[in-house]
Amino acid sequence: MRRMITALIAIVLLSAWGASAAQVDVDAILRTLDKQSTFPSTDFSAKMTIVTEDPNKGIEKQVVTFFRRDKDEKYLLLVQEPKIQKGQGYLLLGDSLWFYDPESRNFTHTSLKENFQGTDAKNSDFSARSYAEDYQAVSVDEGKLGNYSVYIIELEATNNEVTYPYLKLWVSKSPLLVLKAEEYSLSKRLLRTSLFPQYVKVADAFIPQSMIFTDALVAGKKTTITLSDISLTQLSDSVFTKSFIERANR
Amino acid sequence: MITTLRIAFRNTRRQRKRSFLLSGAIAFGIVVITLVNAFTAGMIENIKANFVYLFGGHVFITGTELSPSGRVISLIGDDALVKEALALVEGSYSHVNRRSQTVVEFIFGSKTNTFTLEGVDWESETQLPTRLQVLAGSLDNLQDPQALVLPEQAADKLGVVVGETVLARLETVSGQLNIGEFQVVAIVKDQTNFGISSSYGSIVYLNELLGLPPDGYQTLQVFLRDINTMDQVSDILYEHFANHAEVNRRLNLNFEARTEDEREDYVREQREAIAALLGGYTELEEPWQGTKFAVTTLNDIMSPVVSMIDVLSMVALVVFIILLIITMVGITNTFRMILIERTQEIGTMRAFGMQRGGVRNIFLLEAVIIGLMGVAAGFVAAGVIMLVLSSVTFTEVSVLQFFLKNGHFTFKIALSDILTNIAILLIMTLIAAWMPARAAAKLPPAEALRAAY
Repeated sequence: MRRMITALIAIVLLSAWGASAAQVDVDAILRTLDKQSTFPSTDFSAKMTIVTEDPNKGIEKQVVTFFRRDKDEKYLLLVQEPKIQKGQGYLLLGDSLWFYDPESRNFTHTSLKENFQGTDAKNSDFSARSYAEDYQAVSVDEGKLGNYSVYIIELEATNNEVTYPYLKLWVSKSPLLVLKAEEYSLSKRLLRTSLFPQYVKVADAFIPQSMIFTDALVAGKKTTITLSDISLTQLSDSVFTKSFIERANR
Repeated sequence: MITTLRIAFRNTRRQRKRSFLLSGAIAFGIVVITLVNAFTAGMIENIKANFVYLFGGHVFITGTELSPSGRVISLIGDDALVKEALALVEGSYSHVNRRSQTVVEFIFGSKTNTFTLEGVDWESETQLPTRLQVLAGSLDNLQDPQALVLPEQAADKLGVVVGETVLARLETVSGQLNIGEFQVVAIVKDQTNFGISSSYGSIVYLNELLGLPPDGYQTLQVFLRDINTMDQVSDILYEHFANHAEVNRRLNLNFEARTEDEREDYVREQREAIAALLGGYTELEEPWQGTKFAVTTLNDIMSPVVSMIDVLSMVALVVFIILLIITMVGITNTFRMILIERTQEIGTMRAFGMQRGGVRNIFLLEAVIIGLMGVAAGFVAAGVIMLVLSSVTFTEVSVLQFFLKNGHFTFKIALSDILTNIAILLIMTLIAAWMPARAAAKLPPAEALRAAY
């Protein structure tokens, strides 16, 4: 009899836990994540230190200045180090992403889906993203990631134009922050694992101060991005122009 | 006339050293122009052959369509219209291939290599396996959708051997990342010798990875029976597509816009066409229905290269003419000296009844004989140099491979070029000898006989 009661209690508790998981408003979580990672009324700037470990090329370090204006869908990435790449720039203006090469002094059209400078970060990783618009949840669960209680959310793209058709997010409960993301191909093969171990709160936004992207296909390939000198100061309109990149090289 | 010819020939033999030097100068010019002409003609032929291998055909039909979201994707959806167009040029082509292709990052362990992957319908494309030179594995199991044929260079870079599985990272036509798994069934020799051969897999599997229908394709490669009909066939195909569907402007790499608007239109269209080929995104200005066709030929693609080679040929011709002018000045001077040396002889010949025309003809024929001797010597020397150069194998210089055939320079001598050069040379030689010949003919016989040089 005691065993039956214990089993019933266990079933009731599990059902209650399941019900609570099912009641999680995933859309609200996704909207919050989007809101926390965008800057609709201010500009954003930071210095990024990018370290790439490649089993074939060894360890490479880059320093990049990063300017972003979400309200106009613009960003500018200016490579400062290494010396050989100094002056190279990426300018996003709406749907168009331009790459500037100071050697040829030419701008060429490039894609947000390309990897940034041979690292494991995509050019799209630096622009404002929207989980709520581009994805829908197919499952949500609760679990642990290290010491953190997290929601484990599986997402499927709502359109066929996002780089990763399937995502799996580990989102801390309070505050809601993406701690880990797994990005899958159309054939549902793991392509990349992203870790966001450290955030910094600036105004209403949470900015990942450290990001680790691991290539799931190329053994041993990993990129770590660390942000410093973070600022939400208003930038001049001239920053997001081609002539600014050209001038920066003089 | 035979007597005149005999005297002219005897005269050239009388002063062999002088004749030899004059012929030598002419021969040098002939060597230069023959080598350059034969080299450029051979180079054009080699580039054409390499382009045929590289692009797989003589005429290429590509198509772009709009996805429901308005994105431009590379796909020929209207195969019926393609068949109709091909029926118009039936007999002009030997076969056609329907292909899909994309740039793929192959991954094996920690090694990666980016290569073009061609999706091939192995059942219909029976010529390709016969053309591939297998270094390892076999082409017997090509019907397996995941079978992959890798060029030697890619296999070496990945460190992969036959039987192993490689991953392929690529983008679908709509821009999503996708991963395919292929099994290497054969490693083949680089067909082009310049390291940009493609890898080959099943078109059905590649279409699945690209997000295209199983029977879809992106490019139709047309192999012509006669390469000279390339422009004619492409014009017929283009006209048919233009009459029944949307078309892109013909590719013209030498296009020069007359106005800024024309230039902008052209740049936009070409960007659209290139993005279609590479599966990229373009800003859409005017939407269209169905397939938008583009027709490109090997001549279109090669036109800048051919223009460059034409310039090289022109420079060689100018150098040849300058060399000839210098030589002709020499010939004029030599014949003026000959005139002085032979004044008494001319007087004697005139006294024996030779007419003025006869004297003039001896001089002119002598110049022609020297010219022809130079031509003959020049051709022999050029032939020897070509033989030596074509026997040298260039395997290490990959940049040169594009201009070579199996690692060798090839020389193609066109009869029209030879005849043109001989004609130019003879005309200039005659012009050079004309003044002294006329002066010799005008000498009064009595004064000539009295001359004491």
